[in-house]
Amino acid sequence: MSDAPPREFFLWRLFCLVRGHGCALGVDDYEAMRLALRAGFGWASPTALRNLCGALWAKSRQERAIVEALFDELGVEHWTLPDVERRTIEVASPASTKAPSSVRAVELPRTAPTVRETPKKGGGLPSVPFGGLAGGASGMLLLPQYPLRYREVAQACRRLRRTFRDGPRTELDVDATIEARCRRGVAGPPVLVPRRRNAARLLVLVDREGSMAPFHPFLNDVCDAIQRSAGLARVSLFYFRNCPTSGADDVVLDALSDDLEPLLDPILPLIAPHDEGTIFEDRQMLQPRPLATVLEEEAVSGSVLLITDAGAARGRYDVTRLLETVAFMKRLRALDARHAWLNPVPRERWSGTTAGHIARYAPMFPLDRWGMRNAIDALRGARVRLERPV
Amino acid sequence: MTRHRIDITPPLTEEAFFGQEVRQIEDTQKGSVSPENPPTREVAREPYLPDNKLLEAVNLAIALGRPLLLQGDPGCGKTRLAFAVAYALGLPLEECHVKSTARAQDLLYTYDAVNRLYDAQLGDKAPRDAAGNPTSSDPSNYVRLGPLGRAIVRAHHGRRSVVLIDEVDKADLDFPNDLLWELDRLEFQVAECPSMRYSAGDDPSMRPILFVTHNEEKALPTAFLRRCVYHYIELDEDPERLKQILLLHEVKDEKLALKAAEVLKRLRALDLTKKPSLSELIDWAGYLSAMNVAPEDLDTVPYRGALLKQAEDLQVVESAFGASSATGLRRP
Repeated sequence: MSDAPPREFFLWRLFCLVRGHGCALGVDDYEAMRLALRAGFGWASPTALRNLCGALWAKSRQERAIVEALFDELGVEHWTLPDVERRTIEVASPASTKAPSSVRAVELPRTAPTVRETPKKGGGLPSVPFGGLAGGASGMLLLPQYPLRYREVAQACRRLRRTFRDGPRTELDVDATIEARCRRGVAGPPVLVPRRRNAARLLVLVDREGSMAPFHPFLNDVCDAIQRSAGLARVSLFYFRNCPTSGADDVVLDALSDDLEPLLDPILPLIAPHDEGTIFEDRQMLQPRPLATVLEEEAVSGSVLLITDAGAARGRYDVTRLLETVAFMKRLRALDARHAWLNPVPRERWSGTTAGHIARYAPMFPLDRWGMRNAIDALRGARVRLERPV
Repeated sequence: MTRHRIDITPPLTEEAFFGQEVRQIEDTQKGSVSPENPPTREVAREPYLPDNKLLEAVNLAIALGRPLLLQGDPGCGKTRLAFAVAYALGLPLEECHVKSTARAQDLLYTYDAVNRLYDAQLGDKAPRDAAGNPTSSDPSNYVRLGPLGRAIVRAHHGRRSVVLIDEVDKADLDFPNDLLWELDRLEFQVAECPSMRYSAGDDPSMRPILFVTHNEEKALPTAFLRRCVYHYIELDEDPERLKQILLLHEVKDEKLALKAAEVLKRLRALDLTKKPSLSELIDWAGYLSAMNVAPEDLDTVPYRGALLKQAEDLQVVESAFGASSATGLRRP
């Protein structure tokens, strides 16, 4: 053996890599891997070891693909056992349950197994001297890491509840039963009430195309997360371009001053509610629905979540767009719907744009973990401090 | 606690799945578990052809004492695996089909408080047990064990069982979270009757074997996933392999089985919203075999209602294979 420091076991390296790629693993899982190796699993070939890693450390198809890709990148080609010595260990027979022996009669290697990692031919480049790691030939493993993850969306949306009792009567109401018993004086059947259900409905309107095009993969992820994990009675998802409404009456804008960036505050009471416009059911924006109908169906006494950059992506301030938005908000208020806005652009870039102005009138939050929670809190009815509520 | 000890019973092999046609295995239909000499019943063999990766995963789960989490398309054989493994090992199978109203505690035991209240009110007319005491004085008379509870009690008495928790994602999110302690330690205590404590003991070979199937409708909590060994059951479209599986079921004709497998492969290559799965193939081939359909007739995909369940898919298949010649009437 040379004087080089002992290399760390390559499975530990793999474990750290898998952890770094987002799989939730702990020391227990590494111990389970060692236990499985002691039990004799995974020694037959590199493929068997690969399957073992996938079975123990991955908990979904996506994670399994990650684990297998990282394993392949390590480039384990020869997974051999040197001379092994059989140790005779008393095997606890199933009949004697008191026997304490728990070690399986497996061939235990006397020395550590040699793993020959053949370095790939790199076309004349000098070999890189870290740990003998063979260069991965399978290409790069790219994983998206968005500011807002599936789990965080699920945890936030789970707080949106409007419980009511509906359905078959399956739960025992103890107080009512006792009260009925006292009233009647004789034992009677128990009083059952239906289970609590979540009647919260959420209408999600997502801005699409144009300045929102860079955020499409991120928003697709977030919308899928809301739809799959929210546990609400109903989640409706629609797409719009720039602004859900169009054609609001802009005569009132004549009363504004001639500033480059006029505030709408003076004419705010004059803006009429407006809900004419077209929104789309699909991501390609090919199946239109009139906004007014959708609002009547989904938003009455419900919650509306709007995800849009509101001009912050390009840094523009458009008075007409702000006017349309305020008219839309007034209509939502007339329908007794709570609304919250989420902006994928960070808060620092909102000032001087339409988004900054909308944030003065309505609760608008950046699209990250805290923003999502605050938005759902706003939809639950929590008070949000606004400069000029509509 | 036996989590960190390996079960040293010999691993399962494929031959174990092809034993005798019928075996005598302990009866699980009764609500209680007798300490010794349990009643047995005849259990028919479950036709199942596992592949090597699946066998490795099952052996790994048994050796480490962790539940095996199975995912896969509907109809690929997740639930039937538990039946097949229970038969192969000659162990009783406890099934738990989870509903959306399920609570984790029902898996261990249910306590009938209402009946106890009624019996307590009856006074002289109350039912009495063998010793002459009224049954309402002893809460253990009103405790009914659930599937996992029975398995742990059986392990307490020194016998092993297999537990199937089917479609675990149908229940609330609290359901898997409430099971974590019991799955870790395999012991429980009835809260209403503290004298009833059961534990699976220290012997790793007595640990109940757990199968958990998951339909991927909801995401499971990571604390639960961490304790499981994971396996995804893929459908192997190789016609030879599917032919072997069909021969295990009621399809007698080898040529018919092979042709049915090839037709399935062609159907799955089309752009369908719901591709036909293995269980639908088995049903379809079984019907074709019973109707004595010739293998050449399968090119028109007769009786396609058994394979395709959506109107759009039927249209796609009609444009690819032509209209079906079979009307569903029995041939003379």
